[in-house]
Amino acid sequence: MSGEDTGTGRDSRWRFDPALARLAFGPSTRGAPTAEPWASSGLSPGWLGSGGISLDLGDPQQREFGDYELIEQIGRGGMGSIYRARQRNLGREVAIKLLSAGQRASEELVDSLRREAQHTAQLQHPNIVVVFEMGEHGGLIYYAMQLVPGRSLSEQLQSEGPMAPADAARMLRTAAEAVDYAHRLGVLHLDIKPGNILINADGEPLIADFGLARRLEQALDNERVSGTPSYMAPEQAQVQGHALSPATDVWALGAVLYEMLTGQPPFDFPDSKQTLRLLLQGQVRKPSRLRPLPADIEAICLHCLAKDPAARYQDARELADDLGRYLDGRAVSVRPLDVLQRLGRWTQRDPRLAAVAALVVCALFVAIAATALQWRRAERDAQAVVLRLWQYRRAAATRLDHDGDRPAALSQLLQNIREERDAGRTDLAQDDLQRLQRMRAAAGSSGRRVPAGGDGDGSDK
Amino acid sequence: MSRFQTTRWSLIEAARDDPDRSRAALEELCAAYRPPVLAYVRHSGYGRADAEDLTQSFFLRFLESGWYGRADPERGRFRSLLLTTLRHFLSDQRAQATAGKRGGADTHEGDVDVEQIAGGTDPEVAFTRAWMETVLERAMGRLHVECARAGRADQFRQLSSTLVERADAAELQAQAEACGMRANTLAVQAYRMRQRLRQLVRLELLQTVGSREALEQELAELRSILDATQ
Repeated sequence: MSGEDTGTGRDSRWRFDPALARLAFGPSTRGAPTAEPWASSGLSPGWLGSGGISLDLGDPQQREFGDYELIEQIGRGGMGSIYRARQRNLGREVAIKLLSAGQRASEELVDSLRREAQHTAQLQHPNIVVVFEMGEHGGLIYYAMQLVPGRSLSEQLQSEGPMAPADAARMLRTAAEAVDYAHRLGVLHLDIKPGNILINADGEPLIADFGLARRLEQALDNERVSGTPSYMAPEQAQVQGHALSPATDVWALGAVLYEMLTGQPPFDFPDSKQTLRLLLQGQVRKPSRLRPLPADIEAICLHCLAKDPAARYQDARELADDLGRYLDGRAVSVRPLDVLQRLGRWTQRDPRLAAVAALVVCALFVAIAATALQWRRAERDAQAVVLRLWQYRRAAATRLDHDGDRPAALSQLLQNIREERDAGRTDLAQDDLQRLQRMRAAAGSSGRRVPAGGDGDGSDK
Repeated sequence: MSRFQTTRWSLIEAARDDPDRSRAALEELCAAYRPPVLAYVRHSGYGRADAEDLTQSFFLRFLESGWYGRADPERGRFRSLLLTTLRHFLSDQRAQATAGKRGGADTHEGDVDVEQIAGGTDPEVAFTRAWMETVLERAMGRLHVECARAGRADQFRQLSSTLVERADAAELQAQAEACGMRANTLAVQAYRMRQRLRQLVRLELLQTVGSREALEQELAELRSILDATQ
């Protein structure tokens, strides 16, 4: 339609073009429920190349970005490209993330993102990437953040494959502590994934996009979001799901741990719909089925990946603590051990103390054995003395009998018999009784009397 | 540009209390949105000359009789106000014309030129499309001014044609070479220009509605009319 058609008769310099009108009067907000005819007609940012805005930094004009000078592209994600840049007024190097769907950013969206950025800028933690500001320049939404030289966990896993369980536990414990710090300040991440965990030169993890990722994702069109739900908690994938909570981030940490251990996330299909379906209906495959793993780290991982948020670690601190216990070789809260296992863990954990303790126990045994031996020897000695005493009395009795003092001799033998019976030596008692009877028989033939008491005692058995 | 800093609704409100002070601004406003009114009148069955006269007298009445005073900036939009007022105005005109004919007075009846009605389009649709054209033209004009001020008038000329056309890589490359730029630079510039155009359209419309919510409603309504008349 032109000016002529409408009857205005004006000399219109820009003929009314319905396509231009659609572009110009298009919805302000992103993710509008209705499909926009021009979204796929080459007017979307995709027109500039796949994945959104691609700046040519060989062109001085494109390097200029407000207070920043873009130096090189260091990353590209579903939400946009990341550049290393120099902030002129502060003379520092920063990372600038340009959002790929900037074309359809409403002012409200930019305002809300800016508020969010101010909020997350308060997170000051050595393992959280600091966000400096969020803004809009030349129609592009960007945010400036701390530059972390290194690579992402995702890149590391891709090039080096799964990690040793202890290394994975150590790194995830650090990450979980940082996440817990943010949770305590009331900021949920809601998009923790290996791509959002940067690893600096010291091998320390730093979590990026805190508090922003989710907002950005909500703000951008669905088809433009990198959007693999591989690290998403079930409650995030449901419209009527549980409320999002620290346990939601715990799931994602568990999913990251899963991938660190096995090289793949718990649910991973090229088709995100299928991944979502499995996430909601399927069971998490035990990581040990993919790779042999210590039972404790597997238990920790699976505890994070409980479908019911209430069945997971309730916060990232609990997870970090359990990872610490695993690293120390102590029993983890999700897999109690019996006494022997505990003892085994303890000896592994503290071999020197264990060795000392073992020595003490051995010494005790040796001492007990030695004492027993001594005791038995003493007992044996005591018995020998008694035997000798009885022998001596027998000899004395014979001598007394021979000397004619028969009552004294019989008394010696009677004492022997009494003691021998008490000591259980009936054989000796029998011998001495026969000896006594022989003396009495001899006394009877010689007409001498045997004392009555001795006779009664000695002959009744 | 101070005229963008005050919404037209606030001017209309001010005009209620102090007509003289806002008269100039309202006149400017009426001049800007004359084309949709003219389109409506033309599509209501009036010949060009009559339509021009009626449009002129409509705006005179609009400004003088204080019809704008009835508007509720909280809820209304300038476009609907103008349209409603215009509808009443034309029906009054027709009533007067009929009465005048009965009384033997001089009328414009002879000027009515049904043959010239363009395509028989509904007057309201014609009004709305002309309205959008006006908004777009004003936004483009402002974009041109901004580019010229930034020393990029040439770029504006090159890119204004590619704002809606699908430019494939080769085409873009050729265009870039023609003006001694990298294709990428050109693409980014076109992208930014589109962005700015959208902003300017919204700024322009914001002057005719009471709030941001109303702006979104207005945009949705304009889009639906655009779709319906394709």
